[in-house]
Amino acid sequence: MTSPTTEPGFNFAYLDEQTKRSIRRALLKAVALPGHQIPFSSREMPMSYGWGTGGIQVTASVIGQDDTLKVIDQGADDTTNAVNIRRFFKKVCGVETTERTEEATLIQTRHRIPETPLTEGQVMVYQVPMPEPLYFIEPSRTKANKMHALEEYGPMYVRLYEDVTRFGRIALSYDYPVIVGDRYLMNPSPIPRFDNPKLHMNPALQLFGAGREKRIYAVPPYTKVKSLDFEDYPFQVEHWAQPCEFCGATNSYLDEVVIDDAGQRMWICSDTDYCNQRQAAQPEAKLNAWENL
Amino acid sequence: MITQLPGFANPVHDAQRTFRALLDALARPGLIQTTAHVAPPDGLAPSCAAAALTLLDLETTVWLQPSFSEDARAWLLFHTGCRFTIDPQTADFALIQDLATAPSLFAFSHGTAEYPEASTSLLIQLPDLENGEAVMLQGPGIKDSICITLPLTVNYWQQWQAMTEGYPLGLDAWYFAGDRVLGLPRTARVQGSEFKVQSFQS
Repeated sequence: MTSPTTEPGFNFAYLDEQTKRSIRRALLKAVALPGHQIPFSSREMPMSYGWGTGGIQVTASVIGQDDTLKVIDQGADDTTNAVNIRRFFKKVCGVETTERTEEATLIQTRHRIPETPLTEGQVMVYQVPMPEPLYFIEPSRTKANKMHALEEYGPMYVRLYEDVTRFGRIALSYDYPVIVGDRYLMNPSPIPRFDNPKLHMNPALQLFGAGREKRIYAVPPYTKVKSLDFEDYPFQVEHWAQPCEFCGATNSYLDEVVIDDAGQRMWICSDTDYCNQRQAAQPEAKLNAWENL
Repeated sequence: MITQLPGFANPVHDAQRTFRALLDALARPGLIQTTAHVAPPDGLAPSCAAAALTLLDLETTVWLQPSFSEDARAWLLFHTGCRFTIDPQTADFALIQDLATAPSLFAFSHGTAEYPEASTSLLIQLPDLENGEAVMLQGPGIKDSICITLPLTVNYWQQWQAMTEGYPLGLDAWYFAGDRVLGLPRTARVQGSEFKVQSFQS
């Protein structure tokens, strides 16, 4: 399955074996402690922080010759970040890549969980900018560690309560905090609130890598993930008044796209693979919507 | 003494395949995985040897059960460069050949409240991964519950149960036989009242 043309002069998957081993040890601890952040010796990667260096290091430590890799950026397979990371791993691993969620064994993502349900045996790798959910409440890492140790998560509820008093609802739209396995408070990377329910009891293994912040954490398959809320202000996901204008989906996360300089806009699926597959399955739909614009 | 035996035939891909087996074993407790092949020295199970080559290096401290042969020690030292310790509390990894004569689970480090990951990971060799008393497990990675039949004693399961009650502190363990491995993270809780006990001393 592997292409014979991997980049010469590089180890398989770019990282040296010593680095992979240390990241692998951190990943194993992360799986044993769902939601708990494990420090790791993040390396410099051939891209800048903020472009997914944490996710790339996790992927490089996990990926094997038989894997099929999918990379998405905000749900899309065809944006700069996704294309470059996919090309990078093709170059240094020679692995198969795909845009289809169901064909992938390994999915690296920036801020979305695919709409197509994940299955057992798949591995999700999240690129995380800020792993510490308590950071904006307690900037000191030492103190935040102590708060995690003591399960002292009251201040996070106060922060949500302040939203309720000010806006009448919990106004977080992404990075909505969750409790994993009834124990650890976790930042689900900046996935939209819409995707939080997909974290819960997901059959896939979910790994999180923060390169700049040097932290790794994980949610094993079939693990409880509860979004924080109040009895009288229960957790809710976003809803849209209209369906996707390409595929007609009413159950997917929609992006608002400005389509001309007169301020016209349209709403389309953020998950390009999901949208394309739905369009292909219904030929009478607005298949060539882009061309009609 | 220097070992004459080789390590992985393909260090990069065999280590990757073994890591995925160890990762899946821990993420899906109770499901048996297969490691890459390696020809180990006397006394080391092939899967345990593969795990050692995958996890150990000069950054790790290893407690090796004294019953292991000098061959096994020399092989580990040559291929991984790991440091050995005689104090189980300071070990990152413990290799156990014979559970009956090994120290109790409470002799090893369970980590600290702030750094529960600073615990010992156990690599335990068993004659078989099946055909023991059936035990029901629940926890993350397990859909509802799973029944496993590791050949372990009631006393061991009582210790395990007592250990899991200290979560997030605790131990993670892999059990090896032949080229197969089964993992139990500290979150895998044993079901059944016969495993409840008052307390354990190390």
